[in-house]
Amino acid sequence: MSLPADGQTTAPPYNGAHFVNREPEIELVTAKAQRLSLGDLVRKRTIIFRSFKGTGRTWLLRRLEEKLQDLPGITPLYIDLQARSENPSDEMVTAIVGNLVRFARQILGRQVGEPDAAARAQKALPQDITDLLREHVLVLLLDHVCESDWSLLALLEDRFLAHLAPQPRVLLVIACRGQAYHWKTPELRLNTDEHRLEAFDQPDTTRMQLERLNLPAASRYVDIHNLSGGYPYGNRLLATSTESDALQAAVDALLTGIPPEKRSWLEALCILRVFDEERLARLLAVYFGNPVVQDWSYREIRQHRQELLHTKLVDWQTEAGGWAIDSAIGPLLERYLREKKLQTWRRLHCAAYHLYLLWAAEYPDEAQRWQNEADYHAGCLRAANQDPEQCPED
Amino acid sequence: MNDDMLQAPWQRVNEWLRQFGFDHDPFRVPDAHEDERLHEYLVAHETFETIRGDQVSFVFAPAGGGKSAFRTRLARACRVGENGRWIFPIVYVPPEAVILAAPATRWHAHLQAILLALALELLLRLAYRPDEFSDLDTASRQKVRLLFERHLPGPLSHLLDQLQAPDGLLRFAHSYDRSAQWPKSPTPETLNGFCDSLLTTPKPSFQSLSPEADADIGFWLDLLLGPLNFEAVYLLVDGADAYPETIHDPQETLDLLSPLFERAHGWAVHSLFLKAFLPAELEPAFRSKWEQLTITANLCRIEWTQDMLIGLIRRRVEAALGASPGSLDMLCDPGLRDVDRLIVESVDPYPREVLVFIERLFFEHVYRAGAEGKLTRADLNAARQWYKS
Repeated sequence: MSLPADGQTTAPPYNGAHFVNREPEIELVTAKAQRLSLGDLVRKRTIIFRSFKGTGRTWLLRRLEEKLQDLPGITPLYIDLQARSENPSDEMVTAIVGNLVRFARQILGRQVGEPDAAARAQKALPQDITDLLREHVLVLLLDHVCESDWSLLALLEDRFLAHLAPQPRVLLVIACRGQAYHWKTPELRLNTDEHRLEAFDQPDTTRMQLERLNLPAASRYVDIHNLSGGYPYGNRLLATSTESDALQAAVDALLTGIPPEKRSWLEALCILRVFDEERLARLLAVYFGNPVVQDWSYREIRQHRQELLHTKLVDWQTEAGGWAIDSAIGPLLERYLREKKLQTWRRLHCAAYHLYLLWAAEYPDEAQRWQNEADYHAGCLRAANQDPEQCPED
Repeated sequence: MNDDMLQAPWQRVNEWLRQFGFDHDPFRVPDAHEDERLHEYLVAHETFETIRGDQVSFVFAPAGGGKSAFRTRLARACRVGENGRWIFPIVYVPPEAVILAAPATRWHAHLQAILLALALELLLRLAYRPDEFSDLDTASRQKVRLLFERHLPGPLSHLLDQLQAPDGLLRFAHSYDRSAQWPKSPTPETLNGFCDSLLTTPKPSFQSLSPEADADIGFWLDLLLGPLNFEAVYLLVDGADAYPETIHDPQETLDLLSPLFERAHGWAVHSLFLKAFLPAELEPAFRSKWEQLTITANLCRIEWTQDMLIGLIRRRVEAALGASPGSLDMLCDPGLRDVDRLIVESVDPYPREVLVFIERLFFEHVYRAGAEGKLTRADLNAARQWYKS
């Protein structure tokens, strides 16, 4: 059973016959749910799947819903938060909770009517949900959590999730892309199992996906896998494109909904492995041929960075110590740039190369780090038969 | 003299942090029990799992080593019914009256203070969850009223007036346990309803309760474990080393708490479990004098690895940004990277040391560069110089 989304998402509609892979993730969730149904104490009852665009989070949650429905004593419920997050309000949260209460009543075989307003006001959890939990394990599959309006999340946390999370027979499965909302409730942060959902690492998995979709392009699965990086949505786009330029079509599809101005910012940055405000300003200046950009104040540059974060295609990479574009899009975008706008691609790599050489000289404590980055960009240029020593000084 | 010179350092730090999107300085409050936002950045720690559960526990750590944060987290787990268990926490910080009491009267002083803390905890519990009061039978409601009349400071009606004032409940809650995350206040109508219901509960007859009964903690345990349906009661003892009389003298602290240790076993039989958060310096003397307790109780030390302390830094950055992941690297110029690790490598391995160092790092930056720019290697080196001196 799932609550219907109000709007459209970019993911293709779920079809179980086309689902491949993800056995470890399915096993993780179903095993926890089954342990809970047997009365075991499971401490980490919030599972977070974080990943880049087009990795298949929605399909995973839908698959989990299918699998869990067949398990006795376990009741899954899928909720798409993004569909609900325009103009978030208390009434919206009341509606979400109200739907959940009606769902609980259905499961319990009770009359489905309006939840009792007085009871709702007094108790932390509606009585119907408390009653449901006596007989069932509830697995709440929350989709597009990080992509939804964070003021909705704050309301939902305060009024509902904070009370649900400590319940021993509740499993919360959260799907998230991009920068994540910081839950104030300790139970939503401390008792969590966080997993990165990665691209398919084996071309054979891409082949299986495309064969299940009955696509003629399945025979080109190696090329498709290498171009997309193994991301399921990217695979599908490249394999189903009827356009003469599949790469362009794939990039356009992945960037659907992104305003043209921000798309150009992403193009400017896609050649970098990570960036910060300094690198953002430098690369935008080169991309637009406007040196004034480099003189923006930190606040102005940060504002641009924040707007990029709102696309949910940029996130902080802790190990790398910087911001990075979604791995499902960055490499494809760079490939597109190299094939379609070679001079721009070259200028950007040259600018990065020079910048890192400068930093290696200027910051001796981090010289090796920046030299490594300079070497990376020199390598990219040489691979395209461009001599980094011939890079113009911008 | 310009405006910059008139601005206090902490104000300049606040202004500087705002440019990065921080809505507050998450490293400002070094003492966990004073930190109203502590729940926003509590971190997971393997030792925590060993101290919860129905057993007497003694947790040792040096000053600034996380005792109060552990206590806060355990109190919270009790209050939210984590894992489906409803435990009643009594957050007990021995007051000055106990410190100053003569040894012969120390237990009585403890008991009065513990019963005060019990009454405060229950009042807050019922104010936030009034249905739990309305579900009680009349006799139990009278017993609740008796507890409040006997052991809360001041007339009950006056106290309830304070709760019903704007933000009164939250202020009252903070005065009892500042580091706890209290739920959203009930509506004024709901709160007023609870207060009216409490005041209209027939007053119990004082003659029917002997002074001995009132002085018996078991009398009140029966209320908690019976009609109020708690499975156990945890007495969380913290802050005993915070007074001049005890801060430098582990033996004094041990003597102060001895009346509690003497009763720990007996209480456990009745589902009241002592959990004491004690300075590390006390451990050898404790083990020597209370050997029997060391055999039967759970003893543990809070220790921090560098990775744990790095996690502590990052959770605080995330709380200030309202987003994750987070890192102080976001505040650094190209000459300074992996600063979270560099910080924990620069200090003794305790949370408070990390917090104090970072505040100094921020101060060094704004002193050098004002409320602009990013952290530099020079800022880090200046903070290190200060820390070592």
